[in-house]
Amino acid sequence: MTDSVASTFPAARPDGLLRRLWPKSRPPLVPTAIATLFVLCGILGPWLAPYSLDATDFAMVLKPPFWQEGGSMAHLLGTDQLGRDILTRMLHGSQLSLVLAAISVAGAGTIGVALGVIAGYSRGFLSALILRIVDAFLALPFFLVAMAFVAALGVSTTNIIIVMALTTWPAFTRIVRAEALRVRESDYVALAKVAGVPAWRVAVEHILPNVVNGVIVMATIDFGRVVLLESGLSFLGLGVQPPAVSWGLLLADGKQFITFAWWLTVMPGLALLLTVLSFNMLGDWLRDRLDPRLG
Amino acid sequence: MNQPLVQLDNIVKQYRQPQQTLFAPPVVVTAIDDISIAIEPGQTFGLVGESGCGKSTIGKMLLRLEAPTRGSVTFDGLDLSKLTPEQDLKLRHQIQVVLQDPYASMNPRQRVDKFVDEPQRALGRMSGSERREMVEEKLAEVGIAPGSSRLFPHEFSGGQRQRISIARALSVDPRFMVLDEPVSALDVSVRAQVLNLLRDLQDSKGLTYLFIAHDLAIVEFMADVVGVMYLGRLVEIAPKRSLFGRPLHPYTKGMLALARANETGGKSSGQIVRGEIPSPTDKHVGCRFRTRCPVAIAVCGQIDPPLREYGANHRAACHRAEELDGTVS
Amino acid sequence: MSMMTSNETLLEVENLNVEIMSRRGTVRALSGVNLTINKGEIVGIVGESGCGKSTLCFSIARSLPTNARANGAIRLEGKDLMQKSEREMRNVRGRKLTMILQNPMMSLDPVFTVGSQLEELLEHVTHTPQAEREEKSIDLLRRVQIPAPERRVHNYPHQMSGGMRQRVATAMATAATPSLLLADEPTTALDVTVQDQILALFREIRNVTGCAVVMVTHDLGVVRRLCDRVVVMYAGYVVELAEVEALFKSPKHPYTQALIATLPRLSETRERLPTIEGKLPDMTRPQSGCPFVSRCPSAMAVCSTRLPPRVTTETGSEVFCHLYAPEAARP
Repeated sequence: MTDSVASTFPAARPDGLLRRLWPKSRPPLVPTAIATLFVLCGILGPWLAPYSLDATDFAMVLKPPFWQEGGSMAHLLGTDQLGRDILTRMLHGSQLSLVLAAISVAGAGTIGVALGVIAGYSRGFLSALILRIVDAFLALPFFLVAMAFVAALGVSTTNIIIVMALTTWPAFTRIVRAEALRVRESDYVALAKVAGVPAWRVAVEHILPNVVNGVIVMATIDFGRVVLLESGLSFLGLGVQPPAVSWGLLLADGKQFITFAWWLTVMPGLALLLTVLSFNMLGDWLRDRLDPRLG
Repeated sequence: MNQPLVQLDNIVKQYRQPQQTLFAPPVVVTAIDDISIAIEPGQTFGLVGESGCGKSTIGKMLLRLEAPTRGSVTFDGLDLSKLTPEQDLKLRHQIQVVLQDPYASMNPRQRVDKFVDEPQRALGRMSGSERREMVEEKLAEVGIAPGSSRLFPHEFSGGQRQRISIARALSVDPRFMVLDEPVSALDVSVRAQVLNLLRDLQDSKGLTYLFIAHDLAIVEFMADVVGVMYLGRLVEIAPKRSLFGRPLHPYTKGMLALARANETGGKSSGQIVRGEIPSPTDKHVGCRFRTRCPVAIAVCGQIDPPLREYGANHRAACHRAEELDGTVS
Repeated sequence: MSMMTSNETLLEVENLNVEIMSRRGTVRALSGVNLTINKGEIVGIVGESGCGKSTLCFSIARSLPTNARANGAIRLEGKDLMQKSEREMRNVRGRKLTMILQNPMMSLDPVFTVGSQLEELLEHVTHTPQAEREEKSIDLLRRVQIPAPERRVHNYPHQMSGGMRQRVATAMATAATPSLLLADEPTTALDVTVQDQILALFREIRNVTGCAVVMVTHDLGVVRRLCDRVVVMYAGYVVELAEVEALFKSPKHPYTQALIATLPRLSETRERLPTIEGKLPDMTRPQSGCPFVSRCPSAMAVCSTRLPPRVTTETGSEVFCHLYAPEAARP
């Protein structure tokens, strides 16, 4: 037996440049980059845009993207039927999509988590009642509800947010309730009860912090879903109204020209696809990272 | 003080099981069947038994996490089911607990200082700075290094966590502590440290303990009076010397033989106590230990033996206790 | 020594080192472990948290997690398991070498009856023909002393008690009459009276089939009542190997002595239990010298600088301690 306890294993290969800049424990490179890009565009969009939102140019109607025959560097992603720059409209649109999605998810998350903690921690009637309400909401077909809502209360930014939040909160409640049920049986909750800690305090100090992981994952994935929802609403004319711009609206506008001016729909469509995919992948990574059982 | 500090009188605990089919009669499980225990101030009562015996439930009743179906639980003369709000608050700090699993007992997202002062915060009588001082004092008392109060649980080992749990229990200057298998989940060498600490604290503060365990050697070290439970019944209860020196119930004799084998050597035969522990839902007639008892006779299957006294506060529930007194099994 | 053990070597662990990579650093889980197990022997591997006993058990089965690296040799019946591919190991596991875990609910599938799980084993591992499988399953349950086995084959795991489930796990582990049965704390979660029965069952299995048993446990009582020989581990090192009664009657290594001293004993009343001061060394940092030096009441200067030699004492025990080194070896 040797005297020293130096490792008998060959030394591990030193990390290359990329690995040191981006160690394995960091989030996946491409989805994070795209998601960050979306958020940046959402915040800075209008200032980054080369043109103003309503700048029309009848000389440059339906010009293709710059890499196509007939395109120009003046309009990188082409123009629409009124000569408006697609890139500009997409940048403006991303802002509205971002804001609407963020507020909806935040609102739905807050309601959902609160109700989830209550449903999970309380017993009997209250818990059952909340669950039945959740089931009822989950049974509603989204677009029909949206149409009914809009028909009754008209179209406005607030109404879009309300409609989207209404379909998002039930999933939060379900997840949080399941976690709360598990946490409720913990020894430290029993100890708190023995100490005479009131129920509301147990919920806030013990249940809530321990269900937060699931919420973060849910919120990330839901963000992408809500962006998509809003696009659908706007596409159907129930969401964002002109002269405001959102990606859904761009899709709707470009629909009629799809056979010969494909870029009007494909550009915003592609952006939407990549953004939602990125948020989904980020959410997956977060879930794996936050799961105490793995690693 | 003449009256016992803790008294459980004829406690019965029943649960209703979910029905198997829609029209089947409701199944009632009797988890605890007529138990009476008295604990004198300054004493340690050791409660021993295996799965399904109900020992943890007794502890929970004293903590008011469960209520008996029948019978009364009395602390310092007060019936726990009939407390006024002032009495309730007073008892919240007189009765404390340390649980078995050091990893489940602490909220992983809560710092140690918040864990230790939680009972005082619930009482609302100390100021923030008073509490901070108290936390440091209690942690020092249990041997946790000063300055670690702002750390999270995962920074501590199992043994340290149990000591932090003890510090928390001490934070409200209790008179009585329920210790539910406090060292079972710890490493062998760490158990000694925690057991010594519990004994020292009892000596210096005059604490009364209900010590729940399944390891007889540990109970022998800690307890003054020992009660042996089997399937919801007390089958034997006696002062420590008497129980270990002159066990009367066959189950006690069996458990003792197993514990002694650890010290004398000799390989397991599996014959000392045979068979499986019956489920609490199974119906039984007569003595509940009959199915596994090496000396059961006809009457054991007909009449449930009551606890009878056999001198010097030594009680056992066995038809043949007197006859077999002095035999090993 | 029991009549059942032979002097034929079954398993030889040679200079086994295992490192486990974690977020906190690389932990040296096993350092230079050497161990020989004879055919039909029951060997206990005992130690506290972090000693590496479970790692050793999983290393022999070559079931270490993906963040572990191992080197050394593990020879089962002469063939080095460390050289085998995963495919080759699959043939070894379940046949020559089987394992029982602490929580039987991990090894038993909750959605299948016990009988169907046994039959699946009989189909794939022992290639028992279809017609004989049900009867063989009942027979396997009878061998592990489950009463009314013909009824029990139709039970689901959750319908059985913990002790019963462990018997089923044992039946599954012995179906193919392995040469080596590894058991990782199989009785820790069981009641004392049931534990006694399971230990007796292991001895019975060894007596009938002649397989060797490696029992990993933290419970010295279990070791005493089951094993022929004991291996005491500390911080990834083997510190003492001895026959069971020799170990308890006259432990040699200071750690073993201290450990046995801390146990509460029925036979004597003490006011305070002796404890072991200090704590485990940091296993992410390599240290020179004996791992127990910071806590050893008999530590000498050489203990901090040189790893202790392996010394065979006159009773036949092996100790890794400078205290027992022959005079010539001491500086």
